[in-house]
Amino acid sequence: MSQTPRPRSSLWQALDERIGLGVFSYPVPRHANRLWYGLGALTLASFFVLVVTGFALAQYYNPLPAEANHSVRHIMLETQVAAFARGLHSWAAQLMVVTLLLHLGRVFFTASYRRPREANWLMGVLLLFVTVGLYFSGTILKWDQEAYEAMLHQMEGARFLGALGFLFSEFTRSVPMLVRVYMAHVSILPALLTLLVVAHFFLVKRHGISPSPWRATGLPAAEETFARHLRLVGAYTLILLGAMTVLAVLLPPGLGPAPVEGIEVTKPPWLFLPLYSLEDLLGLTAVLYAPLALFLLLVLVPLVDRGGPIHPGARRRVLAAGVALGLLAVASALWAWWTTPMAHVGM
Amino acid sequence: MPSPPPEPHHADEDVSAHHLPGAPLKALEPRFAGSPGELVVLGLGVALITAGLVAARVTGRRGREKAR
Repeated sequence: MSQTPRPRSSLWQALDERIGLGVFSYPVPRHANRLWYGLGALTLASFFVLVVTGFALAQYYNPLPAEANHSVRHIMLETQVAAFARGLHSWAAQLMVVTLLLHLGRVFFTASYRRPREANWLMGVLLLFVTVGLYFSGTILKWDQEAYEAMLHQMEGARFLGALGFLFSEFTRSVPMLVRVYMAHVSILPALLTLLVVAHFFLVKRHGISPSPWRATGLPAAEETFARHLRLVGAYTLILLGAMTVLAVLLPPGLGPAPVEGIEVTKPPWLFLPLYSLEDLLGLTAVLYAPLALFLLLVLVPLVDRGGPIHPGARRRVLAAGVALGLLAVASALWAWWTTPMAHVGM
Repeated sequence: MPSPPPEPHHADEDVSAHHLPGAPLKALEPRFAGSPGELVVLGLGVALITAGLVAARVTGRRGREKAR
């Protein structure tokens, strides 16, 4: 049942006349007013927190290799506000990745990549990889032993890529690699992410929220206003912000020892543990081929699963393949977490 | 050969020695100390979570009422 829109306030009318707020005043299906359909917006909320806290941290952080670790120590020990901003930044990054992966899972489960939304699925896949790039570059910036080893992996990956990997290698001697990673982290990748988010939202608006797989085909979807959807997402965002704040106070991020060249003794953060176990099995080239294989698999999803009903019961094979891949990632992460660290660079 | 793990380093320890040029920089593991500032921010976080839960519940209830 669609609702009759309430008369707008004079403030709304004044703003609508000047900046076109009315563009957000459109109906959305009622099933979109669930947490599962708000995960993309929560991911964006985390990104906003990252931009604000990142701006604060940029006032204190020094990306020169000789100073980077010192400047992070300064943030942690001598500036309470920046130390809290670092805690928020770190937890916002973790939660952004978590909500993004859950969002990907929801879109996959509800077959929201089906025609005509294939291009938006591709945007989402690109957003996933840019986000992982931001996460990875962020772990390098703290410039401890783990960060140093992560950068070694990046440079080895660039070596395998040959001429194509020049952007990730020390092709220029005038600027330290760490400074270039910093530049990518604070400008190139956020700009790319912003452009992709704008395109992603444009296509969501263009095609509308995807249909619920549990609604019988042919029946009209019950509708709500987008304003109410925004209110619910706002409420979830408050919970997310609260969770970040509590975690930043109770479990502030640490900092490893300053890097020592020539050794490889750490494990990567949780997101890269599946990759770490693949490195144990297949060697360093897994760093290059596994993400490439994952990217191709994700791109192929809307091309392989194209026809038929979108009800999960009718898509058992596709869903089973997705669940198997997810379980494999979790199992390999647990294995990597449990095993003793081993050197991969130079294997 | 993996080197031994770094010694834990507490937030209240004097770390000035680690700032000297060439001195080894050990791991830092800050912990919640229950200071007034931390408690205020913790309270703010709990208030945000509570406000979000209440707002989600109220918005959800209104939506269900309108649907009827």
